[in-house]
Amino acid sequence: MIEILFNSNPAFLFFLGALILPFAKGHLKNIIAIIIPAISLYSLCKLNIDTTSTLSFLHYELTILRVDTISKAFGYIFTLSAFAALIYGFYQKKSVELVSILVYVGSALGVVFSGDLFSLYMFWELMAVFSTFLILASKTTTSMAAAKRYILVHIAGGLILLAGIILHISATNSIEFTPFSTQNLSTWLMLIGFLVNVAGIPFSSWIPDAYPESTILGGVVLSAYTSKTAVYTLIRGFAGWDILVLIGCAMAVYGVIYAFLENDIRRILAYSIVNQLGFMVCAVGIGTPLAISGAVAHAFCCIIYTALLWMATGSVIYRVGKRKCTELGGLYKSMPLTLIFCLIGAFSISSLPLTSGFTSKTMIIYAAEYKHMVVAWLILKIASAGAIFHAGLKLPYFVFFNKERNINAKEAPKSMLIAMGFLSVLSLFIGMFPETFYNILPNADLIKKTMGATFSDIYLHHFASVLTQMQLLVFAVLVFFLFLPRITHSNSITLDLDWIYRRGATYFYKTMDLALNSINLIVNKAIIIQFVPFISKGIIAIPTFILLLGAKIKWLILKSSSDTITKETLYIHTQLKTASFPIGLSAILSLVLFAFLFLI
Amino acid sequence: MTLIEKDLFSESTKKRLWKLLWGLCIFLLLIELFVERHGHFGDHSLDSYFGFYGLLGFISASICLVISKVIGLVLTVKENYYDRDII
Repeated sequence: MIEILFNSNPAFLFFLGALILPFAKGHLKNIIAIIIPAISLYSLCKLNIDTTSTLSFLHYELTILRVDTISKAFGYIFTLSAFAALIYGFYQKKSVELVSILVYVGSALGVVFSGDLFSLYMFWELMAVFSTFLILASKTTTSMAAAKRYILVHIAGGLILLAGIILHISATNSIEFTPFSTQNLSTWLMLIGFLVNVAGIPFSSWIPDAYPESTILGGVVLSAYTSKTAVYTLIRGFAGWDILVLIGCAMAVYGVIYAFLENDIRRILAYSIVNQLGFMVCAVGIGTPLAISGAVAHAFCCIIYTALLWMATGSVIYRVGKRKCTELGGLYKSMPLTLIFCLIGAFSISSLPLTSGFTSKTMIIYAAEYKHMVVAWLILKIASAGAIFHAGLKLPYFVFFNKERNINAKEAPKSMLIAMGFLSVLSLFIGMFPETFYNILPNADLIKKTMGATFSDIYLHHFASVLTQMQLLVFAVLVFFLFLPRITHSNSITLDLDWIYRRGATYFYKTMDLALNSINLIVNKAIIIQFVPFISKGIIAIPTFILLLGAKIKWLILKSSSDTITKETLYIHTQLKTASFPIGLSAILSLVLFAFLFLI
Repeated sequence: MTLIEKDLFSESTKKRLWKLLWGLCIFLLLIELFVERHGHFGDHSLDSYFGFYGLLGFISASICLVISKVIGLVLTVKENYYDRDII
């Protein structure tokens, strides 16, 4: 049994943990939750590359475990980040959140290690369901509504993916998840399904809509898995698809611009995730071996520093209870350690030399350069300079400095500091001594040759690229502080693409309601109220008319007196009203009608 | 640490920080004179010129700022925008 658990998809270990956890009491729950990713990380190290294990299901062979360098790299970071997040969440006593996290992280690992589309889809949907609980657990009206939209978006994305998978299986008769080379309906549907989860434009707005409403611990966990799993699936299936370069560049710029307008610190971070994802999607689109390694590396590093930033803001929210730039400020005195960790995260996301962001982002920019994609290269550079604006400067500045607001806050709890410290050290380690990190990436030798592996290689022999990066960032910092007096925040939000389903759909419904119901009303008035009674009256009046016509002819011929005319007219009207014509007369009239019709 | 312990909001500290930032900018540009650097897209490509990256950082940050200001003017709504019932 234990053998199966360790040599199979790591997801099952997490699921087992989620089953046991609710029965534990007190901090034992947290300890179990922390131990599970630690064991999983250990067993991952033992897994050999190219291990596969299959399972028969209906008449298909499901590849529930496929290990290669890409899945292993994602496996390492997923377990590491879950380990750190659960240490951070040591304060959390409720089972709901911990169980959801374990199943959520487990399913993300499940996706990464699945070798076929069936198992991938199952884990994919499990991930969507259990991540929703992390938003619902906030138990506010806003979070309920956000969770509802979140799950709807993911169900829609999941169904599109399922449609693509079914079409693909019926066309190729294979459930294996391999790179898709042909462009047809099935692959496009799958691409859209994956793009929804990676927050690719135009499906990007669910991240800033949902993540900021999650719980403190939920935010830390959510920031890492859904989107990075989707990056993994894109790397696997769609490497080298040109459209991804375009979408990636758009995402990188969009993230910067929107993050800059935000007042809510968690929404700033949500937009910065989209900005970072843009780099990865772009790298997948470039598709060269270096770019693919860059995408994996950037996903790895991005998880570290984004989690770190979510942890730092989470600590601030935990201690202060506020999350707006307009309400925070001057916390550098009361929360100095959180500030230091936040700055390390901020420097990393800005890809400052010596941090993990520099290691990974440089790889992607090099890949664009080697493929002579000048426009993409330039946009990534611009987005890179822009990234220091929101997460790198704006966030720490407005939370910890700006104005003295005399907020009484204590330093973050120890467990939070330990988790942040762990991720900070990891981020700096990858930034300074990336050789170990390169070794777990695909195409390790190529990266070492291109990028340089040791500290002296990167920071002395390639000093020119360090210098240019520093210039780029420091001049962006200069712009930030020059324009600082003009950067104001108010209690406002910026309309995003989610407007389409949050407001646009309602407007569409109301317009349709108005248009269709007015047509209905007009038709009702014209046909039911006016036309039908008119016809029915007409039909009733026709026999009278014919009879009176006949009678008139008769009166003309017989030259009847006016008395007879009045008498006979009255007689015809009474007969009609009571419908008491002699049967013979009706029969004759019918015969006349038939004869008339026959002659025609 | 002395900088942190002192009040960061005092005018003198602010002035010192400004000097530091300007100093850093100039320093980074000066170092470039002593570093051999090649263009990424050929020897005479635009990015091989002196100060290209500083200028790029400055311009791209400004562009991002201006675009976000413009978008902010057009698309900013009140916080309770989605809470209101329409029609």
